[in-house]
Amino acid sequence: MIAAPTRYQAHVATLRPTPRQSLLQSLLQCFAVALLATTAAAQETETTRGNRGSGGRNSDQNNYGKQATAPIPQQAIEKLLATLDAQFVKGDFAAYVALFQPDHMGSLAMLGRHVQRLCALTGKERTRSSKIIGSPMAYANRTVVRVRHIIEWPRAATKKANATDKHRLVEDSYLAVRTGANGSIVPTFAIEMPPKMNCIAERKFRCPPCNYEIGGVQGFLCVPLRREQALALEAASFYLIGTDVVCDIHVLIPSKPKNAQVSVMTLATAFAKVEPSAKVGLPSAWLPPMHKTDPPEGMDSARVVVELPNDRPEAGGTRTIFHVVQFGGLQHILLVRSSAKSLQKHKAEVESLFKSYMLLEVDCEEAELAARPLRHHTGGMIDGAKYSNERYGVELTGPKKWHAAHRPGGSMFRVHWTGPNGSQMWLIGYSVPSGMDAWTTKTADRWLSHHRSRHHLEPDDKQAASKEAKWHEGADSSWRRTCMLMATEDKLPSSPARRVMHVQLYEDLLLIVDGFGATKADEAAVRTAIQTLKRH
Amino acid sequence: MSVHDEQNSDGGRGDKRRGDERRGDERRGDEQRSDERRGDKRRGDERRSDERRSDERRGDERRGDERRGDGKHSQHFDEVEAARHFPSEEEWLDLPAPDLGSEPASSPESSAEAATPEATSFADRVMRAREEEQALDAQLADLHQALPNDLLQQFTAPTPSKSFVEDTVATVMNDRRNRWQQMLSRYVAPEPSPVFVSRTLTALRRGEAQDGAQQDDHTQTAAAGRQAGPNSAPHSPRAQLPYTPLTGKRSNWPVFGLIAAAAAAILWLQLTDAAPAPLELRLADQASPAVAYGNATSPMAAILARVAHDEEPFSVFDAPADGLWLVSTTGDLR
Repeated sequence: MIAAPTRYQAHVATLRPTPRQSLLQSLLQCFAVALLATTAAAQETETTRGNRGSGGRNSDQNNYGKQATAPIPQQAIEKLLATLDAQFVKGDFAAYVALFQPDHMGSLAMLGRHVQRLCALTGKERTRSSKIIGSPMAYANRTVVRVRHIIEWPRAATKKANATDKHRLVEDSYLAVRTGANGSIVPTFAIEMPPKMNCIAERKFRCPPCNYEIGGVQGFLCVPLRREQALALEAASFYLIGTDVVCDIHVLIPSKPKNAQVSVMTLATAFAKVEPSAKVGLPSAWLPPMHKTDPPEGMDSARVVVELPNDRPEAGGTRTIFHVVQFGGLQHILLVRSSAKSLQKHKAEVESLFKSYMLLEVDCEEAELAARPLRHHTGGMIDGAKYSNERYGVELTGPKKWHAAHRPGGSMFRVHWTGPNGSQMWLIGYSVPSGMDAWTTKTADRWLSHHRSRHHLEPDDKQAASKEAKWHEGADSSWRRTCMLMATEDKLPSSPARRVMHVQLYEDLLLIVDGFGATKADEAAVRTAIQTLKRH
Repeated sequence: MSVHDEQNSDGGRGDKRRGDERRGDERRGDEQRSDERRGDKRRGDERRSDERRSDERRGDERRGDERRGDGKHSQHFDEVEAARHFPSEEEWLDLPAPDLGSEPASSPESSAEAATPEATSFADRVMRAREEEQALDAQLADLHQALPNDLLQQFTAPTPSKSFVEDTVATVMNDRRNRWQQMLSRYVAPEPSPVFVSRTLTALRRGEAQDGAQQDDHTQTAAAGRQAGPNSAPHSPRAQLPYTPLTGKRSNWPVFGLIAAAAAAILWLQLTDAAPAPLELRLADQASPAVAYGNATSPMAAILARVAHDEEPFSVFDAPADGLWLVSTTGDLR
C-alpha cells in the first residue's frame, strides 16, 4: 500500500515541472554559463596574451637608447645559428620561430612563413649551413650579423639523394641577437637581404640616378629590398633595431602626372582596399626637413596618416604614415609603420631619419631626371613607338601612333602601349627569379597557365593546333610560342574578348608580349609588332 | 401716498437739494481753483519775463566780457536758481517758441563759421570725427606705454606643458565618459527599497499559503481519489501523475551532459583562439603564392600591386614570379 504523501511532498509535487520544462530550463542555464565563460576566456586571451607578449618586449625595449654595449662574440652567435639550422633540417618551423623573442612581430611572421615554405619545398632530405659574413655590428643592446644560408635538397625528392644532382639556394639575412636573462643568446630579429647587394647597415643609402639619399642615422639598419618583392624601381627598409619602428622608401615613376596629395590619397585608398580595417586620415602638405627652408622649385610633397586600431590595440593600434615626394617625374614614397606607442616613444629617431633624406640634384630638367633611373635600373628607353633595352639587347617597335610608357613594377622592364579605341599591348621582361637557376619551358608554362586560369583565359581551339602555338625553337636559339586566348569570363563590360600572347624564352630572360585590339586592324597591328621583337 | 412714500419723497427732495448744493460748491471750488491758477500763471509769466530780462542782461554782460577778452566771464552755475526757474509742465506748453532765425551770434568765430556754407558740411563732420578718433587712439597708445610691462606680463598665457595635449584629450574623454554615464544612468533600474522588498515577500508568502491551502484540498481529494481506486474519476490533472519515490526525484543527467559539452567547447575555443595575424602576414595571405611580392616584408608591395591593378585593369602580367613557387612540385606552395 502506498503511503499517503506528506503535506510537504504534496506541495513539492504540485511545484514540480514537467520533464520537458526541466530539460529546457537546464539547456538554457548551461548555454548561459557557457556563453559567459567563453566571453570571459576570449577577453582574457585577447588582453593578457597581448600583455604577456608585449611585457617582455617592453621591458627589453626600455633598454633602447642606452649606450651600445659591446657586440656579442661571434662564436656564441654561430652556436645559435647551428641550433637554427638543426631546427630547419628537422622541418620544425614552429620550433624555429619559437626560439625568437621578436622585436618586430611582422618580420617574424614573414620569416616563419618563408621557413615553412622552404620546409615544404625542400623535402626531408634538406640540408642547411649558415655562416656569418663580415663583423658583428652593435646596435644598443643588440648585435646584428649578416648570415649566409646555403640550402640544398635533391632535385627529385627521392630516398637516395645524388650529391651532384641537388637544388641549391643561397640566401642572405640580417640576424639580430641579444643576451637573455640567463646569459643565453636570444635571436630577436631576422630579415632577408639580397645576396648580391653590399652591406649598407648604418651608412647612407644613396642612389644618384634616383636622385636621393637617406640613412646614416644611428640605430637604423638599412635593408635593401629585391625589386621583384618591392614592385618599384628601387626600395629599402630602415629598421630601428630593438623596436617595431620601420621606414620603407620606394622609388617609382608615376603613370601620369598627379598632385602629391592625390598620389598620397591613391596609396592610402589602395591600402584601405587591401586592409578594410584601415582608417584613412586627411592628406596634408609636408616638406622634407632638409628642404623646408628652401624647397626646390617643382617639388611637390604631401603626407597622410592611416590608422589600424584593431592591430595591436594594447599598444594603441598600428599607425602607418605615407609621405610622397614628387620631383622631376620621379616619386619617392616614404612609409613609416609602427605601433602608436612606439612611434611616440621613438619620435626623435624617426625625425632624425627623415632629416637625413634629401634630393641630390634640384636643378635638372624633368625629362632627364625621369630617364636616368629607368636607364640605370632597367636599361631601356623609348623613342616614339620603339622600345630598346641595351642591357638585355631587346628591341620592339610598337604599332604606329600608339603611345608607349615605362611601367616597370617589379619586372626587369615593362612597357605599356596604348592605342586608339582602347587597344593595349605590353612587353614584359622577367629575369630569372630567386630560387631558380634558369628559365625553362616547364616553368614558363607554369607561369602562363597560372595567369590563364587567374584571368579566365582559354586558348582558341583552332589556333591551339597550329605550329606557332606550340614551343618551337627560333633562329636565335630561343624557344617561342604564340597563342590566341579567349576570355571565358568578362570582368568588366569593356574586357577584351580575345588577346594575343607571345612568349620568347631564353635561359636568363623570359620575354612576353601580350596585347589585344579593339578592332581587327588593331589586333593585326599587335601581331605585326610581335614580329619586330628581337634580341641581339 | 403713504408715509413711506412721503418720507421717500421728502428724502428725495432733500437729497436733491443737497446734491445741488454740493454741485454748486464744487463749481465754486473749481472756479476758485481756476482763478488761483490764472493768478499763478499770470504771476509766473511776470516772473519769467523778469528772469528772462535779467538773464539777457547777464548774458549781455558776459558776452561783453568775452568780447572785451578779459576772460572774467562768470562760470558760476547756480543749480538752485536753475531749478527754480525751470518751467513746470503746464508752463512748458505756454513758452514762446525759440526764434531760430534771429539768434545773435555767441562769438566771432562761431559767427564766422555760421557764415560759411561748409560749416555743417559732411566732409567737415567726417574730418572732425576722424580727428577725434585719432586723438582717442593717441591717448590709448600713451596709456598703453604708461602701463608697466610686468603688469601686462601677468596676463600672458603660460607655455603649455609637454603633456598638455594628452592631458586635455584625457580630460575631454573623461568628461565625455562621465556625461554618457550620467545620461545612461537614467535607464538603470534603481535598487528596490526595503519596504518594497518586505511588501513583496509578504504578498508572496500570503499567496503561497493560499495556494497551499487550495492544494491541500486538491491533494486530499486526489488522495481520496487514489484510495478510492483506479477506476475512480480524477479530480485534477496533477492528480493523474502517479507519485512514486523514484519519479519524485529530479533527473540531473541532461544538466551534467550539457555542462560537459560547454566545458569542451570552452576548451576548444581556448586552444584555437589566436591573436590576429600581423599586417604583413595578412597581406601576404591575400596575394597569390605565385607572385614574388607575396613574401615581401613591407606592405607597400601589396599597396602598389593594388594601385597597378586599378590603373591597368586589363593587364595580365602585372607582377613578377616567385621562383620557389615555380620550381615546387606541389600544387600550392604557400
